[in-house]
Amino acid sequence: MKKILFITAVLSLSFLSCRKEKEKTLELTPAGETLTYVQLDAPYYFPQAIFQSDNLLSKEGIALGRRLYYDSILSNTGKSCSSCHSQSLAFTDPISNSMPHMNLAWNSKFLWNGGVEGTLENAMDFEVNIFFNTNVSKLNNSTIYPALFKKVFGTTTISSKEIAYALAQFIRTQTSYNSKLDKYLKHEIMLSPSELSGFVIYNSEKGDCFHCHSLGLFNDDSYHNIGIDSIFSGVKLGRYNVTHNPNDIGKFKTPSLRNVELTAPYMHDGRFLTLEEVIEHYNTKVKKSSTLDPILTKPSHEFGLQLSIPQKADLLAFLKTLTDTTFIHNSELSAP
Amino acid sequence: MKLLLKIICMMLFALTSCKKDKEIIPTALDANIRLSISHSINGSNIYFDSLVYSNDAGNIYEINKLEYYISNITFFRNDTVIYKNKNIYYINAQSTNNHSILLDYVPFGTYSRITFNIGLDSMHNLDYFLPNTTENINMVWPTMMGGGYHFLKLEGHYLIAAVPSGYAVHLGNKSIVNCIINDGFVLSSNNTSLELMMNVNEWYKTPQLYNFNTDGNFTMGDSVLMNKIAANGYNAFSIKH
Repeated sequence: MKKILFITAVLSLSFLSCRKEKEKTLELTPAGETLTYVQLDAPYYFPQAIFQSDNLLSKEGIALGRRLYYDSILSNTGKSCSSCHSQSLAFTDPISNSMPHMNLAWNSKFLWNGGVEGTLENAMDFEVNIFFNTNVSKLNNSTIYPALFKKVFGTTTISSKEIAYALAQFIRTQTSYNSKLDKYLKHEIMLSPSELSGFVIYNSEKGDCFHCHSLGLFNDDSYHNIGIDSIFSGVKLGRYNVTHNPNDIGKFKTPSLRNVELTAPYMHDGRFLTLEEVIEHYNTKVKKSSTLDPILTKPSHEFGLQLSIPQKADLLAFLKTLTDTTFIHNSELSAP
Repeated sequence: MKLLLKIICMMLFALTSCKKDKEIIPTALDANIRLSISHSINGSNIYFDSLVYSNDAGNIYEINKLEYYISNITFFRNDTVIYKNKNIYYINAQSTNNHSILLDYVPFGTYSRITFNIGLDSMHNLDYFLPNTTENINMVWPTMMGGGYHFLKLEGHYLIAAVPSGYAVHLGNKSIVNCIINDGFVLSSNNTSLELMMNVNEWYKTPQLYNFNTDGNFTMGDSVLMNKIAANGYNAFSIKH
């Protein structure tokens, strides 16, 4: 018995020595405050999360970011982040057609045309300084925020930087990976025959969705022209409006397909109201242009995917397995 | 005594289970060699998204994307393996920061041949074998198509009757590319770098001419086309002297 216990202990040591530390740790800020640092979990099929080394996730920082996210104090119009990012719709909004706030910890490109690239701190700096044009003095004069910011960042004067950092912390926790498909990939449940058929279509040359909507995040953190237009002007120029590179005309950031059932309307301008319309676009309506993604113009796809009606239904059924109800009901992400 | 031996064996296993394989023992005559890779079309630098290049089949084409893995880099002296690197390196020809590979502890001397693979051998071409970088995740080859990773993504447009159409040369599954460069080079204290150059047109040239119009402009899932491209890749690289 002793022998077994000892051998088990040695084997456990070898196993643990390769594992990542996941426990929370307590550390002091420069101001001497105690913070509880937390680690972001993710399934094996997610890429590495992107962090900024001077903004480690802490329980207190996340709570501050969450409070700010739901507070109209950030804007001069009575709006908060949550005005355009509703949890029940996977943190998006059908009116503004804003991109969902979901798994952004694994993205380095933000907004439909990639107007901001880098870390979430860069994206939130844009939101605070440009989009909201936040009046920082309102936060400095509030009865709540100075103490919270001092606790997290050790600062006595709140600036837009700390606001952006706190928002970035909260948004990093808006994680979605508990959909029906995730449970299937963890061998917890089975998919229906129709969903499985859709999964095969998605992940084979038949549907060829996987090249841009890579399994995991269901995007590729990149830009593509998917043939919804062949004549470009104004906002339709997409990525070109940021880079002024003619090769970027008509390209937009690949949106994640996670929770896609909830994030209508679709495309950068919300032109498609239903997923059926989106599938039909790829099936029969791709428009040619010089920057159209090569994946979409190969001869066998020049006239679309040519999916049958049952195949389209299967693909739709599969897309709906990406809905994560725990995400949209997660009380830790709701208004505090 | 038996128990003690067993425990020692297990502890050795525990210690080595997290270590990288390292077969090469460094000596005073070894050096870290900088292997850089450049990409060309018949000797000219590649300008991405420029529809001006032509291959031996007469296709006028451009390149939008060129990504691949290089692995099993091996240096020969006559027919003897002197150095073998077991790492797998991701290369994105459009990125400027990863065309350079540091090879550890390469013995100095005169070499006669380099071999390597474009892609991952069957021991390593497994689902999620590589670290989960965004690049590796985007190179995943769907499990239901064989699993593992794309070995090569070479994409762009070419002209059909003066109208641009897409092409996507993707390799994966069993279509690993065995590259051989029979060309001598010397590594010494005065020469610790080596530059390889890919000529993209070689993928379409020998031993079998490849034509987007007649062979096909999309290879993924078609083992005949993938094997043809993979076979052509044997001499896609050369040493830049």
